[in-house]
Parts: sequence; C-alpha cells; structure tokens
Amino acid sequence: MTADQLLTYLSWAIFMMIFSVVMVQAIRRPSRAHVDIALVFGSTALVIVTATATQAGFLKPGGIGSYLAASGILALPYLLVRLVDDIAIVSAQLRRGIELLLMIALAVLWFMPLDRPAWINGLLLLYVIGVLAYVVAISIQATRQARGVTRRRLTAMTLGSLFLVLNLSTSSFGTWFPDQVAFWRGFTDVLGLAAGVSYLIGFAPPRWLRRAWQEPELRAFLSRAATLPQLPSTTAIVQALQQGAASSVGIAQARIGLWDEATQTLTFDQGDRTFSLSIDEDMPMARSFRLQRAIFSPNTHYSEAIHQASSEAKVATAVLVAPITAGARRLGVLVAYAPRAPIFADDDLALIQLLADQAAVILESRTLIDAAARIHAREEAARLKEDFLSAAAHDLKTPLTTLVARAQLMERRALRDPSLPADQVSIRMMITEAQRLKRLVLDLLDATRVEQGQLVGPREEVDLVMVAQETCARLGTARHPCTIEGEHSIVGYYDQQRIAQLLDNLVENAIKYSPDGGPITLSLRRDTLGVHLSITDQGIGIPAEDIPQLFTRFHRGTNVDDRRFPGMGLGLFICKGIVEQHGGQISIQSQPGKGSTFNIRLPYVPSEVATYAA
Amino acid sequence: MQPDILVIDDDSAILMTVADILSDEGYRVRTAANGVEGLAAIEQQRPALILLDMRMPILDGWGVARVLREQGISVPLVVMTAAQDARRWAAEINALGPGDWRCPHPFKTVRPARSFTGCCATDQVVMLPCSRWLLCLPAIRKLLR
Repeated sequence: MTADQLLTYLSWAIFMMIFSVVMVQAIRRPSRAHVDIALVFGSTALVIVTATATQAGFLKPGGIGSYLAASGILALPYLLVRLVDDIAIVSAQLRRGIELLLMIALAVLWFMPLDRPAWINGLLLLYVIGVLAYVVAISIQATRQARGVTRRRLTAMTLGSLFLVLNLSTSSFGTWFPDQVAFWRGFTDVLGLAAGVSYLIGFAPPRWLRRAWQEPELRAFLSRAATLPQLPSTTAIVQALQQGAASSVGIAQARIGLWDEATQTLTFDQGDRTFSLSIDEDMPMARSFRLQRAIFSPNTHYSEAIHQASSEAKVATAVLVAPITAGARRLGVLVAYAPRAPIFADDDLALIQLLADQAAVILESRTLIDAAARIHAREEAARLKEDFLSAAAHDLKTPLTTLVARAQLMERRALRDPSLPADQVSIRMMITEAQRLKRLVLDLLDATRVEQGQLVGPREEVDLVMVAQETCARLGTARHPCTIEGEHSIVGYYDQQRIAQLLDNLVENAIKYSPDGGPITLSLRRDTLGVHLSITDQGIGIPAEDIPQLFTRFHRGTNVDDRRFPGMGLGLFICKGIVEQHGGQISIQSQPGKGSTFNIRLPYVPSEVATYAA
Repeated sequence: MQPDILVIDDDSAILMTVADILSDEGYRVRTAANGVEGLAAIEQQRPALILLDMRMPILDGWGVARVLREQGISVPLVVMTAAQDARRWAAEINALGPGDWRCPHPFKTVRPARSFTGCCATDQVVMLPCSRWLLCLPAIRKLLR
C-alpha cells in the first residue's frame, strides 16, 4: 500500500466514523440540523462506499456503483444549501430552483447514455461548483453578520465549503497531470477530510466546543455586569443587558420586556418606540412570564405588533425566553431571537436562564439605587423647603421688626406727650416697610403663579427701552451706575408690569451680588431672532455647577453666603417664569469673581395681532 | 453723661428705629451701616454697648466679634437676630474664644422668644433676638448698669 493510498483510506475511515456519529445523533434526536448533517455525510458515505466496493471488485467500474457515487456528488451541493439554511437564510425560491437543477442533473446522469457529449458533463460540473460557490458566498455573508459562538460555527462551515470547492476542482487534476496522479489524489483526499471535519464542527459542534466558543462573550458580559447598575438610566441598562445576552448566546438580537404592574403588560423598549404585550397572549414571552420558566419555541408566529416593533426580528422564527425574576419580584422576560432554531443548542435554554437571573440581579440593584436616589431627592426637596421657610421668615421679619418697633415707639412718644405733632418720619418709614413686606408676599404669590402658568397677564404696547430706562433710573446709584446701550426704542406688545418686574429683579440682583460696587449694563437689541436683552454686572459671579439649578425655586448659588446675601431664592424663578410665559428664554454666562451676564431672548411682537409662540 | 451705644445694622430702617428708641430712652447713640464702619466707630471712641446685626455686607457680625476678640476689646455685645438662629449663632461666637457662661437675670425674665430658652450669654456676648425692641430695653439697661 502506498502513502497516498493510506491517506485515502484514512480519510475514508474518518468520514465513515463521522457519518456513524451523526447518524446516531440524527436517530436519537431527529432535529432538522441533525438530519441535514446526517444527509450530507450520508451522500459522502455513499461516494466512499461505492468507490471502495468498486475497488474491491464487488461493483463493476462504470456500473451502478459509479451512478450512485455520481448521484452522491450531485446531491451534496443541494444538501449543503439545506444545511446553510439551518443557520443563515436562503431564499425559498432559490432553494426550489436548486432543487429543480438537482432533479435535472440526476435525470441526465441516470437516463442519458454514458457517451453523452462532454459539454453536458461540463454543465453538470458547473452546476456542482456553482451551487457550492453560492454556499460559500452566503456563508461568508452570514459569518460577517453573526457574532459570538454562531460566528465561529459559521466560520468553520465556510471553511468546509471552501475546502469542498477546492476538493472538487482539484479532483480532475490527476487525469490532466498523469505523472502527478498520486499527489493530486492525496491532496484531494486531505481537502475532503478537512471539509468534513469543518462541517461537523460547524453544524453539530460537540457540547464542550460550543461552551468553549461561548465563553469569551459570556465572560466579557459577566465581568461588565457589576458596573451595569451604575448606568444613567434603566433604558441604558436594558440595552447593555440585551447586547450582552445576544453576544453570549451568539445571536443578532436579544430583547428585554419589563413587567409593568399598572398595565399588567410586558413592555419592550426599542429605543425609538416601545410596545406592550399582554401576558394573556399566547406567545412564548407571555407564556414564559406566566409559567415562570424558560421556554424554547422553534417556530414562532409573531403577531403584527412584534413584527412592527422590531425589524431585526422579522426574520426570526426561533425564540428562547426566560423569566427575569428576583426572589418573589417578577421583573420581566429576556428573549433571544434567531432566524433558525439550529442556531440554538439544547443547553442554551439553561444559558438564557442564567443570563436572565443575572439581569434580575442587575435590574434589582438599579431599583435599589433609584429608590435611594428618590429618597435623597425627597430629602433635598425637604431641605430646600426648610431653607426657603427660614429665609422667607427672615425676609418677612426684617420689615416687620421695623414696623412693630416703629409703631411701639410712636405709641410711647404719644403717651409721653400727646401734644406732639404727628411723627412724619415714623409714618413714612412704616409705609416703606409695609410696601417692602407687600412685595415679599407678592413674590411668594408670583412663585405660585409661575407654577400655575398664570404669571403673565394681558399684553399692551410698551417700549422696552423705556422700561429699562425707568429701572436704571430707579435702582442705579453712584456705587452701582446703571447704563443702557443698544436700540433707542423697541416697541412691542408685552406685559409691561412683568417686564418691569423682570428688569427690576435682575438689576437688583446685579447690585446685590456686586457688594464692592461696579457698573450695571443693560443692553437691548433687535435682530432677526427677536429681542435680545442682557444685564451685565461685575460682581461675585456664579459657579458653573450652580447655573443649571439657579432658575429652580428656592435654589441659590453655593458661593452665596446666606448671611451676606439674604434672599428667598425666588427672584430668578419668577424671572424665568416671566420670560418663558412671554415665549422667550433666559440664560446665564458667568465667571466667578468677574461677574455675570443674564441673557434674555424675547419674541418681537410688533402688533397686537401677532401671536406668541408660547 | 449717658452711656454711648453703637448700633451696627445694614438695614437703614432698623438702624434708624433702634437709634430712635434708644435716644428716647436718653442714651447717646451712634450708628454704622456695616462691620467696617462699626469697627471704625469703635476705634474712634469705645462704646459702652454694641448692638450688632449679624447678616451684613462687607464685614458681618461674626467678623466684628472676631476682630474685637483678637484686639482684646471687651465691650458687651447685644446681637440683633431672628430667634431661630440665636442659639446657633451664640455657639459660633463663643467658639471664637473661651467664654465664661452665665445667664444674667434679665434675659431669663425677658424671654423675648419662645425658642430662645437656653443659656444666652457669655461675659462679652449676649444673644438677644430683638424683634420686640421694647422688651429688650430692660436687658440693655441691666447691661449698662
């Protein structure tokens, strides 16, 4: 026996061994994948058996054995297409076309005389190579799209098809190069063997190999798991969990449906849209949730809702579902989609349950983090309210102190000497303080109106520049000179009182927070966007981190020493209300230590008929 | 000659009213609108008593108390403040230096505010929530005696 003969027999032996293994597997568990792989190796076995029988003299060369072997070779590409269809999607029409070609090829083989023209044989070879090339092409495409274990399986399968194409293309090299016949036969045999082994591990990988292939993604997912609850939102966590589960199982897509107690539905958030599934539906997701166990559904018919909700899942027919449950709390379900059932292995059901349990732990931690944040927010709100009450009490008390003390003083003076003339100074002072008190109370009422959206009243024709000039004249001092720049007149329809209140508030603020004095500049301009007002000071400024909350009720800058700058923290809240209810926007630019600029954009409303954007 | 009282407060209405009340009582009164002005007035002539507001721009009441401690100037301080803050502020001012805790009689009986019931004075600082000025007068009189 020569070396190449030894190689041939060895490869045949291995092929037959694989055939017997897959046969046993197909008989024990006649799933589609197992039957298809058994058919592939069956056709190869047919070729081998007839070849052996012919060599041994049981069959005549050119007799029935040759026909059988040729049939096996012709059937192989079609069987491979079936096999590929188990994992990737082959269009049904194309499959039917290939079936038809196979029928024609077999008819030609069996019913045309052996001395048929060479071009017919050429066509047969073309059919075999062509279909195999197609198998390689869709395998490569599917490999590119797949991930995890499925990608590795498809890679093996693609290699198998490549080996097979090479095997068939080089099988006739022996006749063309007669002096190298032994080499080419050996080469072809090695390629055939490689193809067989590749197919076996691609389509029916042993369990240990599957597990090993799944491990990197699973490990990566689990190592990230601890950090997932820290993600900014539940949606972000759900997305990370979906990705982790999909890559761990080796599929394109996994989805999490969260249980909504109020509506008694499972809600799937797809990012751009959500859809809800009643748990009474007869669907694997609902069933898994009801029964609280993992379910494998190889052929699932989806309702339109799920088709629409997920374009990726349109092609899915196989699903694995596991309930996400933390102790007694049912949180939702984890769903794994695949275009074909054989993508999943038998023990993927256990894997998906493991992933669902992991998801439960992560989502539950998130719930706890959220609950803690809510409590913190409530405490913060309570603290703000307390601060506000104490600030409000202080602010209300200051004028009250003067009012009461002044009244008592007047009373004592009157008692001491009833003939004294009316104490004009005291009366003036009491009026001023009573007005101050009134303004504080009005501020409090305004703050309430802001929340009700009723702050701004009827608009009337008003010159904004004139309002600003009045504010400047009223509030400007030698220490805080107030100047106006920009337009000479901007006449439009606004709530004059509120605009005046807005400017007063902002200029008063600018003065209050410029304790060492400094100019206050009001700028009023008109452009294509409308009216632009700005109030600039050179005061203590506002730290950047305070700016976002500055317009919220009761909030005051962290660099504001309560004792130096008393205030209720209502002014800017009211200002924002006035601006927004005029259809405008207010923003701040500030540099701590250098000063602040409040920018206000208002729509330009030149006539009464013009409508407000708000 | 009547004792000299210095009133320091940034609120001009309160400043004027307190000054008027004390003048009517026959005291000589000087006023200052903030801590810096107040310290200048103390420098010029040491008053017998200082009525001090705590929340003020430029130099607040805490600042005034600290400077007085540092310079070893011993003048009774009457702090004018809202009642809720009095206890905390008294503790803060006393923390500036060792204080000899005592509760002089008038403050117990005056009881200007319900929440102000604990110890209320050191040898130098008296916390007096004086929103009811006339009730405070006996305490001030006692301090100046």
